[in-house]
Amino acid sequence: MNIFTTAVSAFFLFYVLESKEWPMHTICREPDLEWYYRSCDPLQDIGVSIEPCSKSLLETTYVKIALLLRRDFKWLTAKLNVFIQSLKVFSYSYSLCEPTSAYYTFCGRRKGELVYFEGPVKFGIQTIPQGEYNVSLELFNEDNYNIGCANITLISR
Amino acid sequence: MAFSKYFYGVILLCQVSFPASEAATTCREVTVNNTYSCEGLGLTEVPESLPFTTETLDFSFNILSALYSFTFSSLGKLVYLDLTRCQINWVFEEAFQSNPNLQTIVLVGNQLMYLADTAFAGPISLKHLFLTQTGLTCLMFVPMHNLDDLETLDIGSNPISAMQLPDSFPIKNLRYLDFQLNGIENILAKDVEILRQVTNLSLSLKGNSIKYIEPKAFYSNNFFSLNFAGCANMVDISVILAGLMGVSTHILKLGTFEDVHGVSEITSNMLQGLCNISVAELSLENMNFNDFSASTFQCMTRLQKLDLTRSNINFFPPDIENMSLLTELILNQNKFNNLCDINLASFSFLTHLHVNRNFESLQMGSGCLVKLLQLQYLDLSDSGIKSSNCCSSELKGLSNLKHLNLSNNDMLSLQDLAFPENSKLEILDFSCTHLQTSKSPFVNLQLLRALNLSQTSIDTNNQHLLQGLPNLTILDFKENRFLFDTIQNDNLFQFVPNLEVLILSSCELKFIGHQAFHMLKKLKHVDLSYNSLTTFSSNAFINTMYLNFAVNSIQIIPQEMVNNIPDNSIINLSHNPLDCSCSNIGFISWYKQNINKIEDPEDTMCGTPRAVEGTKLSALMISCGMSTEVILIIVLIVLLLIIATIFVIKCFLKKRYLSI
Repeated sequence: MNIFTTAVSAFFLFYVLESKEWPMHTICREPDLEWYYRSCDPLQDIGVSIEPCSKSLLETTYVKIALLLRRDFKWLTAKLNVFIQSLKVFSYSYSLCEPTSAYYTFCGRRKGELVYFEGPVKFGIQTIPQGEYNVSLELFNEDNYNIGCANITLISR
Repeated sequence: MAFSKYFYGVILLCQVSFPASEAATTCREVTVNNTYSCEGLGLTEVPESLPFTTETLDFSFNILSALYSFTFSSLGKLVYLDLTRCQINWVFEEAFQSNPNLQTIVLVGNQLMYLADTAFAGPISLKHLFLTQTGLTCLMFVPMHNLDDLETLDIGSNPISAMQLPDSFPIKNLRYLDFQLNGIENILAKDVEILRQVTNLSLSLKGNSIKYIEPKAFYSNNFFSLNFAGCANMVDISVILAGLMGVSTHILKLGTFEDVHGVSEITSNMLQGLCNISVAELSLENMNFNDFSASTFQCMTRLQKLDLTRSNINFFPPDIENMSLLTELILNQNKFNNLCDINLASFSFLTHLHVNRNFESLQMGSGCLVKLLQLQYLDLSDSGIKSSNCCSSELKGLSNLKHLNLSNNDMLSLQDLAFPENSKLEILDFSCTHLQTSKSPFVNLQLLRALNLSQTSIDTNNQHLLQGLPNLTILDFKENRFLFDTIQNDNLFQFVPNLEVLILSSCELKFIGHQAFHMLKKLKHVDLSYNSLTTFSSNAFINTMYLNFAVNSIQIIPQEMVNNIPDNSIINLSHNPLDCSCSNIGFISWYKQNINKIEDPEDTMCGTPRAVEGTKLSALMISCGMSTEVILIIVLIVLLLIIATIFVIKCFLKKRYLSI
């Protein structure tokens, strides 16, 4: 918990005045695995923590995401693209919220609210093969407005 | 603990500064003299440039820190004011005194530290107040003065621990009361007694970890909607239902959420309390039934709609009785192996059935739906369905079916006359399901209006595929292939003469026969985008109002083709390598004179010659042949020559005559 809090506070307290790009955040750095991410939302940064820092994502991974909403949403779709050296190797789209069916408590939130998710997520990946991966994660609402956006770099050795 | 973390996050986010941008600091005019957006401009006061007539103002994501009686005094006509995340901590007395027409105040995401007793004084009839994520710890913090006409009060996502509604609580017009995601643990009858005087209220207590509700706390209340989803994680659902004893509500939500930890188990016994509640629509999403049996439904006999999405159900007991009022059953994201496992004979009055995104590969079985004589809407999408001889036995008995969704499944093989008993079908969706078809699968669907065959790998050589669909108006054929990537003059569309909308995008088409659509006299909307067409042919689309040829390989367009286009139609030619040399001058001139008919002119650009590649067609400067100036000069020279010749001849003749 403390590690998470420190990580989230660290970048939220960042004051970036001149750059047009948000700073790169470190999710974790171990000898065999490194995770970094950068917000690709022009308006704001995003908080992401993942634990444990392990190449095996078979077991439950604890994920924490903090995101401020610039728009309301009833529908929320997550789009994930994985690239190795600019070549798309994996693409996935998943509906997180629908007007008729709410899987998470944050479904149906309004502009200005903070979406804060903390909980176990199952990726179901045995082990991340060696290599450098660029992952783009985007969240869209019903009007195709980009609610959240992060470019993640993952280096597995 | 959870709340302290949560609000820590909120407070931290309030300190975030955004990267410096060179964006304008003037508010955007949405409608003249009426609606303005100053969102995210970093403003510390209301700009003087906003007109007095402004009725709707989005002032979200600015920096105000405090609201005084003079803050909005220049905007006397305000009706809607959005102050989301403006870092407002103080709302002083009569902050809105100059805004008598104000109906909506949005204060979402401001850490309110002080609300004066007369903070909301001024507006004659304040109707909607949003106080979500404002850090309120107690309802008493909100002054009730001048809130008599309130219809919406949203105080969700705050750390309020008790729902003690004061005697002065505004109930006269109240329609929506939202207490979701607070820290309410106990609800006593006296706390909510005042709500007995309200009818048709929608009350949300979603996501409060309730430990105790006094039995009959809401007795004799008439609600429109009650949301107690995610509330029964510390206690079982019977505690909630006991508190709701004697209540009448149209909608009741009792399910839970993936991110709410704790109890999600449910037993038939726990649901006994439903017998003492009058409810029409019940949702039990994300619950796990320990003893799913006929007794689970014992107190659901008066239900009209039941939602059991993601409830880990793989069968329905066959002996469920007295469900004759139930017209809609939602069973999405469950674990059925076969439609027959739902034992739908118990639900013979259903008009709507949803079994989409089933977690197992669903078999449609034979005659499983035969008792559903009233069924009008059936959604079996995204459920891994494979069927080698669809669908006469699978959809047997559904004589009133109007809308069938079989999209995003594995593979369906449609037999001849595939829907013999479903002749009332109006909408049929097979998108993203691999289809194999016999000669004429839809032959009896006289009433079918819309057919989605996109991404179905359907056999487009079968000229009789669409036979028997005289009323088809919408046909989606996206991402299917045609033989030789060509639509011949003689093709499968001849059987759908009433077609109005035809989508043929991403079909890798290279050529369309000039007479390909000559039978389709009513065609209004044609989408041929994302193909490899090299010619623009409008002959085939005489009355078409919308033609999309975007992202093709069209270079030259003969002028006679565009001359045929009716006055009120729209065409899209963006992302084509259009030729901008003099050989295409006829089209370019037409384009410039008819720019109002063009969709997406920003992306309609020259492809050749290289010198003008990427230039917008609308901005192209081109001159072909002789210009008017040159012609004028030539005419002048000729005229001068003629005059000179006449003069010379005159002189010559004069000399001759003089010499005589």
